[in-house]
Amino acid sequence: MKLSWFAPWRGKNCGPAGSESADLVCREAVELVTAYLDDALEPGQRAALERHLAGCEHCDEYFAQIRLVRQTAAQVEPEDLAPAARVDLMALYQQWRVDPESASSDGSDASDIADS
Amino acid sequence: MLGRVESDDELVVRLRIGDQDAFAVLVDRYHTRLTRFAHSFTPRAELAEDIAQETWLGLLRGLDRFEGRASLRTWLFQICANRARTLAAKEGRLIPVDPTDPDAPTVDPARFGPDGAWSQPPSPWPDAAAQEQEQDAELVERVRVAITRLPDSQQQVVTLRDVEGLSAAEVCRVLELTEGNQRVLLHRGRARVRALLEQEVATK
Repeated sequence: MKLSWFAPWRGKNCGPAGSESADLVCREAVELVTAYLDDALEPGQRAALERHLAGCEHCDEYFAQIRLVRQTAAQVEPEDLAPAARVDLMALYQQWRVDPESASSDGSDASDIADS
Repeated sequence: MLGRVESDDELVVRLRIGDQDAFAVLVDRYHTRLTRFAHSFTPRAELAEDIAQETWLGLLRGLDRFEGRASLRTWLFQICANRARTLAAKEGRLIPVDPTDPDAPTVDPARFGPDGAWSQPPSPWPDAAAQEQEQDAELVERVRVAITRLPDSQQQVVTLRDVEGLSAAEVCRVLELTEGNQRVLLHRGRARVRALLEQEVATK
């Protein structure tokens, strides 16, 4: 993603008067949230963003909401396995044990993926 | 060995010597996760179920070649993504390219003034700080639904990174993405989920 990092029109800072976090504007700051959370920003970019966040309650709120989305997504549980699906899968296993080649719905091979 | 949770690696060892119970444990652990992931490639539930089933066959057939360099979980998702692409292609359904411009802003530009500062800032979510600490079943359900409304490629990345907890490198491997593309999709997906939740809060 290209970031309009040194936007020529930057200058006004949404933080409190006297703050020195003038490097970034909000519109740019919000596009850095994912790289920031992945710790993938250059040190200078990171410092500028942190200065901005320290002085901008709105961006701070935006970042908190993105963190909340991420954290809440981690709590989304998978469904329970339906008993019928378990029966099907164990039958699939049995079929594979008896004849490893025949146990497929279409004869194609999904195992051609190395883990390295 | 009541109460002890066996690691995936231990189960693979047992599976290799023909232990059916190990397969049953793995199926319990991963099948509905695989089905959910497969669903991000196709809107058809029965096709997603087929893809997940084929994934298990892929696992069984590839056991001898599994060297444990990737985690079993990553490998399962990798087989699943591969099967999803193949089956979707067979059905004549092209995997849609994410139509969104990767460089487009993720927050509506109209919400910023000419100086780039917020003109319509995000309204604070009710006790967002407190919710970071405790599980909120209603919020979890909203996030779950919002993720299913994402474009496919964003949904795949958000599901693997944020729901399943895979690392960026693992997601790149499963979905055959560059690190940069992976981050763009994650960024757009999370921002979209946040925006959907914001709308719901506003209309509540």
